[in-house]
Amino acid sequence: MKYVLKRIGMAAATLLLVSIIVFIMFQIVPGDVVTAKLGTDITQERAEALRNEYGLNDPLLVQYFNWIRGICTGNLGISYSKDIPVGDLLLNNLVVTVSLAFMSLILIIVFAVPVGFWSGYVSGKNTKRAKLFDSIFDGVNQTFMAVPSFFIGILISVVFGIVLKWFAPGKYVSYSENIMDFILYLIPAAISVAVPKIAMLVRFVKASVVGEMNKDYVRTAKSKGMSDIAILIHHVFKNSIITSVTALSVIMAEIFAGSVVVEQVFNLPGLGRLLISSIGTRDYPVVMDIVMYIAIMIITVNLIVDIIYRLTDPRIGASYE
Amino acid sequence: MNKKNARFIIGASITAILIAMAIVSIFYTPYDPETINIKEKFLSPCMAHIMGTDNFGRDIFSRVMVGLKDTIIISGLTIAIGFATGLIAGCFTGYFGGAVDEILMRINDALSSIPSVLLAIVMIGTFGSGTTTLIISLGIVFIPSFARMIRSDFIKEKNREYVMCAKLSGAGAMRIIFVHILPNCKNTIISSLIVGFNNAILAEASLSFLGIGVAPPKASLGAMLKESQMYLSGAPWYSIFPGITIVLLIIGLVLLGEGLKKK
Repeated sequence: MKYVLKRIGMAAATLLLVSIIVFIMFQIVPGDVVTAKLGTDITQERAEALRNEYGLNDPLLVQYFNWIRGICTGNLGISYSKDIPVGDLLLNNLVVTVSLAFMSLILIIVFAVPVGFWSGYVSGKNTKRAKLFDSIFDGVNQTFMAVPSFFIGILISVVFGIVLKWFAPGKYVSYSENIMDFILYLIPAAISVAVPKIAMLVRFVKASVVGEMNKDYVRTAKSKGMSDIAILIHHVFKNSIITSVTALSVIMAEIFAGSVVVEQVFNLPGLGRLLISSIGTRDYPVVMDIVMYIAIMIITVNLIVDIIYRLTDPRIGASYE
Repeated sequence: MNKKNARFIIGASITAILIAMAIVSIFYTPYDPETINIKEKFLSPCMAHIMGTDNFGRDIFSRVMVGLKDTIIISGLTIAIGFATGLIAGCFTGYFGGAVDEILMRINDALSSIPSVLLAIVMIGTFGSGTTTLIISLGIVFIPSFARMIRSDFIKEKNREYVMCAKLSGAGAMRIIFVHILPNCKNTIISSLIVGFNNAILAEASLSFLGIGVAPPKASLGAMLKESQMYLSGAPWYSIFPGITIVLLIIGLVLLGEGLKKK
């Protein structure tokens, strides 16, 4: 319990620091909203009036707290470039990116854990055939790891979209129109994001299974006459799955990075597209909000992963008290 | 020939061929990579154009060669900036510890909760696009990961006996850091360089793909993939060759890194 509270405190401190870094970064950025909105040949009074309206003449500390309050309440003001509430703008795009990231995460876990486990079991046997399997498997896995997610997206569009016509690339269906079609359209994108990460997690799970298979307790269990399958399920699975959970926190940040890029391949109106268009129109408040919300999601997932890790593995509890 | 050796040889040959292609592109490409020739647009791969031509009739093979050169140079410089700064930060914070270490590591934690590609997009978007900004932004984005890896090695090494001995014999802190401890971090440095280089290639390709990296009409592997997307059904080779080149470059480096590490 003490650990959980401490870990939550740490996450909050990190968030605070992220917000400060993001805020400062956008204070030193050249060019401001007024020139972006009105152009350069405007009267001093109009510029001044607009600055007052957007609160740009307030002391920095006041601006910072206003921004934080906006982030927490979702009341983010009006977008400079699009003249609609930033909250609405963000919510629509956030749903797309979060759905995509969540679907990728599920795919990653569903595929990587069994494959990693099976390959680790086969390679851990130390026979000649196992060695051959090991090098072929590693080669294939490495190849998948090296393919950028947007290139996988393009290949999927060519093969399944254009040649096989399983889906129509570019024909995005909004979740408010038809939730089923929306999910179906996201599947190829989610696969593109997931494939390199699946390879990454497979490698991790495999290494940890091979490591566990060579430990003394497995030999003891074997000498007591337990079957391979029983050892695998009762002993190795639990121990190796726990260590694999930690890899998820690394993967989480990469899923979001991958989603932002893959959105462009499948023409998805997610945070990535909003981010790039907002940068183009110098709508910095929207950019700040996007960066902040993505950081919040990543930090929260990491927090949950760490707490689960801690709760499921009593060994770590003992070494930290 | 054992497995590690085989990997090293395969990795080294792929990397060497690609680097050779990049170097040759400085002096010679089969066709001019930027000359538009509408009569020859969308030729499928043939003897004259082994990777076909694009929507402006430009030779894809020549463009891949030039794009490869830019990718390697940009990633190399990115890593040089990130690695040099990260190395120094990691050495000093790891060896001395203290308040500065604590503060830098917290900032490091905060920065790593923002995906690096995202951070680079924001930096380039706000400070203006262009190759120089691209290199500097990516370089800065890569500092934390290098600093973290080297710092953790230094923390492990600084309590070892040989460091004690060096201290007792009167060696100064600078000498201990750079002459005694640093050579022992060789393995971490090699593997972090390879991983970093791969991430830099991917980041550069992603940014060019998003249209905020190398500006057209200059050839860039990522930008070619972006352009090719519009012609996927008519000219799939336009996207496949630049994509495969990125994949080969990364695989080559990964295998090379594994071969080097285990020797």
